Amino acid sequence: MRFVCLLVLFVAGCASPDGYPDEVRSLYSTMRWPSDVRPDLEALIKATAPPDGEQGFARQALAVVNTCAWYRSWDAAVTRGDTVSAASALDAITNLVTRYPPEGDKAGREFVRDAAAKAAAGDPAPVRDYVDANCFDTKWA
Amino acid sequence: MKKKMFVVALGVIGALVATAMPASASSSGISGNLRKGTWVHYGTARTITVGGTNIYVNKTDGPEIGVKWRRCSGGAEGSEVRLQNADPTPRVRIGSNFRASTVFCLSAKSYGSNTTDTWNGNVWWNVN
Repeated sequence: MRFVCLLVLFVAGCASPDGYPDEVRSLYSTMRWPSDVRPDLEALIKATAPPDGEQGFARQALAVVNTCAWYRSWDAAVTRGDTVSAASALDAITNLVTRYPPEGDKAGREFVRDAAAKAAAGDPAPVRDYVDANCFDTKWA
Repeated sequence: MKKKMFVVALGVIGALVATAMPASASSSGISGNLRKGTWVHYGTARTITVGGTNIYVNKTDGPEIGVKWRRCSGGAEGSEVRLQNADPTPRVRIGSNFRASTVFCLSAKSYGSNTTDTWNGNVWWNVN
């Protein structure tokens, strides 16, 4: 149920009148993040800000970075043998992250579902590929 | 004889298309707002799922524009590619040899005479 509530907030967006930085901060605060992997929000705003600072672009940037955060958290938990944290991250990978790609991105939707299935089976390859491709230079807090 | 040649030709064309467009090739239409001389970011994310493939774009309506891809999570973007005023334009490659699982977005700007404008076109990804 918590996932559903967060998703509704995420899809609805949380636009503020103060432009892109506040849009990112506001949307970030409504999302579920792993306790051990969170982005440096100011660096993310700087890296993704539209030319005129207009709103409307925070959602896809935060969706990708949130996906990377859960993937990294799961991979790290598995590596250190922390089964409780790994299970929590896998739950997000399976039930939260798979809802981010838009309807029109069928390939993306298949990818995140496949990555979740492989993670559940203990295969970290798709998860690591995603992080390397999309967040190799993301600054984490 | 002519029928046989026609069938062979169809087979060759089919093979060429199959080579250029892998089974996982993706495409969608684009409709976007434009500003003269200023980049406009578009909010639709698309995922590369076949490593080493390319992104192509064409324009079916609108003024001369520049288009580029950018990584939705920031930090990387392609070079500008110009699409001329005459429509429809040829399909042009705007990025190549992408890593699988890259999530990309598009940006465009107008070189037309209007301060603001719109354009329509298509984007293809996961394409060789």
